[in-house]
Amino acid sequence: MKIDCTINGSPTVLDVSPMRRLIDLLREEMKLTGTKEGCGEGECGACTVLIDGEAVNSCLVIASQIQGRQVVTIEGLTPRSGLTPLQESFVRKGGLQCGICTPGMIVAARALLDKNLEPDALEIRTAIAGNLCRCTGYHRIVDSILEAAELERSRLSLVDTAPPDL
Amino acid sequence: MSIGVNVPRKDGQSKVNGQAAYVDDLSFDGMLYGVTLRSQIPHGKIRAIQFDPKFDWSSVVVVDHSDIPGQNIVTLIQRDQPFLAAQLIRHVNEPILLIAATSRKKAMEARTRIEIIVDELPSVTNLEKAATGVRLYGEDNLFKEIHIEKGDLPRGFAEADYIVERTYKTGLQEQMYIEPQGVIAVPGKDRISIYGSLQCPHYVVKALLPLLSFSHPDQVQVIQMVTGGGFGGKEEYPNLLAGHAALLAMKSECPVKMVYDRAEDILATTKRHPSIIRHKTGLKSDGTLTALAIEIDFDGGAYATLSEVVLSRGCIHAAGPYRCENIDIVGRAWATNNPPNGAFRGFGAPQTCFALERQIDLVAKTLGIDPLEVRRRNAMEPGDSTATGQVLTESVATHKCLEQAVKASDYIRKRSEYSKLLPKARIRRGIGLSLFFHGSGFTGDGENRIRGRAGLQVTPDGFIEILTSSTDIGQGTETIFAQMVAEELGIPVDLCRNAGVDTNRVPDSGPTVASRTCMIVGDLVRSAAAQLREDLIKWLAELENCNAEQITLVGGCFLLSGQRVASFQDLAKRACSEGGPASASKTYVQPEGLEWDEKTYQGQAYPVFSWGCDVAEVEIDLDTYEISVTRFTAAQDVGKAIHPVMVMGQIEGGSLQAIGYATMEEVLQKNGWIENHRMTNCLIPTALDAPAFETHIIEEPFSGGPFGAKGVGELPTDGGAPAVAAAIDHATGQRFDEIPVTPEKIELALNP
Amino acid sequence: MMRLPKFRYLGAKSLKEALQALGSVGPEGRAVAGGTDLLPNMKRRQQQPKLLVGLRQVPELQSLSGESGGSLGLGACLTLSEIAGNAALQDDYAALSLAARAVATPALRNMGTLGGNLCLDTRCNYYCQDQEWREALGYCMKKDGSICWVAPSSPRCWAVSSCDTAPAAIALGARVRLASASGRREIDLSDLYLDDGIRYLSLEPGELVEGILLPPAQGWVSTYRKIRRRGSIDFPILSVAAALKLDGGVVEKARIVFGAVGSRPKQAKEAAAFLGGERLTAESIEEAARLAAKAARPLDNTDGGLSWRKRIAQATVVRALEEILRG
Repeated sequence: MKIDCTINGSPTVLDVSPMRRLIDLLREEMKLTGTKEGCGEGECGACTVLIDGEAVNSCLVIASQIQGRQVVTIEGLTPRSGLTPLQESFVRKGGLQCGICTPGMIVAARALLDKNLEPDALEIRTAIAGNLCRCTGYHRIVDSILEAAELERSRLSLVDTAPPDL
Repeated sequence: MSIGVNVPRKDGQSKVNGQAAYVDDLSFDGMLYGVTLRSQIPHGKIRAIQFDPKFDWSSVVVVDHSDIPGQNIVTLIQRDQPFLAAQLIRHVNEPILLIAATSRKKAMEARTRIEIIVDELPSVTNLEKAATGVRLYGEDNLFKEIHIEKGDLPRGFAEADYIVERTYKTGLQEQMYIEPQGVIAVPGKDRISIYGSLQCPHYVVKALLPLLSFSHPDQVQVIQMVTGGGFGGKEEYPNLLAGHAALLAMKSECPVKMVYDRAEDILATTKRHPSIIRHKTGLKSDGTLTALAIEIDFDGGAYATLSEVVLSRGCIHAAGPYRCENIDIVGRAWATNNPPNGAFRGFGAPQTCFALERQIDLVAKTLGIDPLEVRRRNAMEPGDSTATGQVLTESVATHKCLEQAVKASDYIRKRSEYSKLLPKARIRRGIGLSLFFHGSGFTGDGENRIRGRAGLQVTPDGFIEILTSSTDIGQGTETIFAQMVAEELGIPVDLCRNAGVDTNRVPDSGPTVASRTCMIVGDLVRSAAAQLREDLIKWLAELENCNAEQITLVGGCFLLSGQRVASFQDLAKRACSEGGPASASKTYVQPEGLEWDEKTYQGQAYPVFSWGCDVAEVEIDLDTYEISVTRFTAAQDVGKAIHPVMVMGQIEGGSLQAIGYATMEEVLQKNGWIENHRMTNCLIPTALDAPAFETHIIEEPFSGGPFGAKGVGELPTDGGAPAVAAAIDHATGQRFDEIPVTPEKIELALNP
Repeated sequence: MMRLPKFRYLGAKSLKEALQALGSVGPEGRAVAGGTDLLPNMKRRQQQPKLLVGLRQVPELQSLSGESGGSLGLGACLTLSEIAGNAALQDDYAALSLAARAVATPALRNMGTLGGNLCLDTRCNYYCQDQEWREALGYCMKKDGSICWVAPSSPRCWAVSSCDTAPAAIALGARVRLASASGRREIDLSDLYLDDGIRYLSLEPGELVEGILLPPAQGWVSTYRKIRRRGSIDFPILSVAAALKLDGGVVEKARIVFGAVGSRPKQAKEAAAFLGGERLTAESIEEAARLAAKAARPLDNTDGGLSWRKRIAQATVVRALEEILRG
C-alpha cells in the first residue's frame, strides 16, 4: 500500500504494508532511530511523535493512519546545528539521565508548548503524564520545560519588539 | 574550577536530539534476530523436545545446551546457573532453547512450533516455606547465611526497660528501566564482539570465556552502547543474555540481535528480593537502644546469582545509623522455584532499612515520643561503631542530614498540626521521616580483590581521553570523570573526553555497581590525572632545563617561575608526538589499616558511608483510600557533589523509586508465575504521581574520596519507603509494616 | 516487539463507503478510528479482524454541531482531546469533558476518539492478557474458550465496561446515532450497552456509532469522578458520573451512573428517583449515595481489590454530589 505523508517536513511516499507500525516505519525504513520503543502498548511514551502537531504513541499508529498527514520526530525538532531552547533546557536543568525517554518527553513537551507557552507545573505534569521516566523523578523534567517556556516567551517578545529590518 | 559546577552533560546533546545510539538502534549486515524458548513450569525435568516436522527448520538456527562449546554455567559467584536448561528446569521462564532467523517474526513463529515435554516436580514458590519445602539447593536450600554479632545481646535485653517486636515485609520490585535488555553478538574468527545495554562489561567477558571455551580475554570484546537505565538490573543479567546471543552468533556465523520486549523483560530478568524481616529491640525509657536482634529472610529465587552479596549488604545495613552496643543480625537468602532475584539499586539495604526505620518508629510510639527524638538520641556520631564494629572516624553526617531535612520540611510544626486535624477531615495529611546510610564501594576488602584500574591517554590533538570500564547508564559518569580530570589538571572540561567502554581498549575498572564509581574509580581517574600532571611537569622541566619545582600548571597553562611557557594543550600535543608522557594509569591500592573478616563479618565494612534523611508528606483520602505523596524533602550527604544537578537528579530519581516501592510497585507472583508482566499492570509512578521534591545536598567530605566525594547511587533508594510508610501511619492512625501500602491495605486496616 | 497479525485496511473517505465495506465484510470486519484500544488488543490476539475500515478521514464523523433546541451533536471521530479541550463542553457538559480528560494519557487522547471510547472493549483479568498467558490457562469464553474464570459456573461473561465517556454521556441523557448500510437509527445511549461482557454493545452487524446527541444543558450541572491507581494512564477502578437538574437548590431530575462496576455502565436509578424533588443537602446526598451504592456490585476481575472497589462506591457518589452542591 502506498502512503503519502510528510515526515519531518519532507514529502514522503512509502510503499508498505498497512499494518506496519509507524514506529517501525520510522526506525527501520526511515532510519530515524531517535524514536524509542519501551513497551509497544502505548504505556510508556518513549515512542511519542507528532502527527499534525499532536503528540501520539507511534507504536499504536499503523501506516495507513498517516496517509496525508504530517509526522514529526525528535530528529525533525532538532535544528541543523545546535539545539533548540527546549533541548538546551533539558541538558542544563538535569531533565535527562539515561536518555531513553528523552526524545518522547521532548516531543510531548513541544506539543504542549505549541499550545500553551505559559504552562504551570501541573499543566506540564499532565502533558507528560503518558511519558514514563525511571531516572529523574520528573522534578527536573518539569523544571526544564518551565525554563524552556520562559526562554521561548522571552524570545517571542524579542521578536515582537525588534525593529522590522531585523 | 570544574568541581561542584554544573557543567553540560557530556552525553546531553546526543540524548536530546535523538542521535545517541542504544543497542536497538544498531544493526549489521546479515544480522539475525534471536528469541528464547522458555520453561512453563516452576520445577521439573525435560523429557523430550518436539519440533513440528511441518516447519522448515533449515530456515532458522536453533541452539540448545548441547551446542555450547564450553561450560554451560553462568560465571558469577556460585556455579549453579546454566545458560540453557539441559534437563532440570528450576523456574518458570527459564531459557531452554534459542532460535535465530532473518526476522524476529520468523523466529517467534518457529518458537511456536516447538513443544517441550516435561515431568513436573514439586516446587517451592513461597518464601515462608523455603526452609521446609522440597530440597532445591545444598543441604538446606540456603544460598547464604550471615551472622553479625556485636556486644552481648542477652545483656542488652536484660538492661532494657522495654522490648518491642515486629515483623516486616517488602515486595518484589522490578527495575523497570525504560530501555529493555538487549545485546547484539557479532562473531569473528575465534572471537566474539558483544554490543549491549549493560552495566558491567567485564562481567560479560568473564562469563563468555568459559561458555565459548575461549582462553584469552581479548577473544571477547564487549562494547557498551548508550544504556537506557540499569538500576542494577543490567548488572549480572546481561551475562546470560550476551551468552545467548553469542551462542546463536557462533552457530549461525551471523550477527545476532536479541532485544527483549517488555513482557519478556519483566518475566525473565532479576528483581529486588522480597523479604521478611523480624525485629526485636531493647530500649531504655530514655530512648537508648540497648539491643537489636534482627532476622532477615530473602527470596533468592532459583539460582544464586548475586543473592549472597545482596544479603550481605542488607545485613550490614540492617542496624542502621544508630548507636547500639548489643546487636545480633542473622540473614538468610533462600533458594525457591521463583525466577532468580538479583541486583537492584540499594542491593538489600532498602529492605532492611525499611524494617529498621519502621521499628524505630515503633520504639518512638512505645516511649510516647516523636520519631524524630528517638533518632536524635541514637544517631551515630564520630567515635561510634557500626554493627560490624567499624569505628566511624570521619564524614559522619547523621545530625546534619536530620536537622536540615527537619528544618526544610517544617517537620515539627506539620507533625503536630496534622495530628490535630479534625477527626472529621476526610482527606488526612501525614508526615514521616527516615534516617539512613549507605556504604560506598565494595564491602570489606572487595575493592582489593577487584583491583580496579583506570587510565588517561593524551590524544594527538592534545585532548585527554579517559579510559575506564565504568559505564554511564544515565547517572553521569562520563561527565564527572571529565570534571575530575579537568580539576586536577586545571584545564577546561571540554579538553577531557571519554574513550567509550570497549573491553578490548579500556582497563577493567571493576563493575558499575555498589555506589563505587564516583568514589573509587573517580579517585583512580583523579590520581591518574595527578600523575600525568607530574609527568608533564617533569618532562617540561627537562625541555626547559629547569627544576620541576619551578613549574606550575595553572588555568590551563604551564608557568615557569610565573611566566607562561606553554598551554596545556600544546604541551600535551608535543608529548604525544615527541614521545613525552602521553598516558597515565592507576590501580586501586587498599588503604593501610583496612581490616575486614569475611567469616565473622567484623571490621571495616566500607571505606565510608553516605548519610541521608528523608521527610515524606502524604494525603490519604479516608473515603476512597487513595494515597498521594505530596512533598518529599531529602537531605543527603555525598561528601562532595561533583555535579550538584546530577547529584540532585540521583536523589530525586532514587527517591521516586522508593516512593513507588512504598505505594504501588509490586510484581505479583503466584506458583512461580509473574502475573503482572506489562506496564499496564506492573506500575511505576507517572509525572502526576511524583511529589514536588526539595533536595538538599549535604557535604561532609571524606578524605579518601576524590575532592571529598562519596557514593550517591544507591543511598536515595533506602530511605523513601519507610518515610512514606511513616507518613501514611501518621495520616491514618494505623501502622503499616508491609510494602507496598496500597489503597486495598489501607481500606482493610481502617475497616477491620 | 509486539507485532500485529495480518489484516486488510480500507481508509474510508465517506460514511457511505465505510458502511458499505462493513456491511459486506460481515463479522470479520471492524471499524477503527484512533486504534488505541483495538490495535493493542489485536497485538495480544484478543481480536483478529480480517478487514479494518479506517474512519479517520470520514468527514461526517468529525462534526461538532449545535442543533435545534440547544442540543449538541458530537461526531464519533472527534478525538478525546478535542472533546476535553472544547470550551462549550467544559461549561455545559462538564461530566463528559472531565471524563474525556481522564482517559489514559495525552498522546492516547490525541488518537483515541469518542466513538472508540464509547465502544471500548470490556476488560477482565483473564482476558486482557497476551495470547500465551491465555493459552496457558485454556482461554476464557470471551475469546477462544468456553469458561468464565471469574465465575466458572456462569453462563455469561463478566468482563467489565471500563470506558470513561459512556457513564458521563449517559448521565447527561445522551442519545446515540447508529448508522449502517441499510439506514440510521437513534437510541438512548444507555441502550447501546448490554449486560454481557462479550456482546456488550447492541450494535447490529455492519452498524457503527455515528455520534451522540446531548440534550440541552439548560439547568443541568454535572461532574465525573474517576478512581484509579495512578494519576494518569490507568483505566478506572470505579467511576461515577452525576448530572442534576437544579432549580434553586432543589433537584428536579437526577442521573447517577457508575463505570467499571459491571459489563455496562450502571445507572443508579433508585438514588436518582430519591433525589427528585429533594433539596441537595448533606443528608440527602448521604441517602442518595447509600441508595446508589446498592447498584455498584463489582466482581473481582479487574485491577483493584474487590473490597476496596466495593467500599468506595458510596463515598465517590457523595464526593460527586458535594461537588455539584458546591457549584
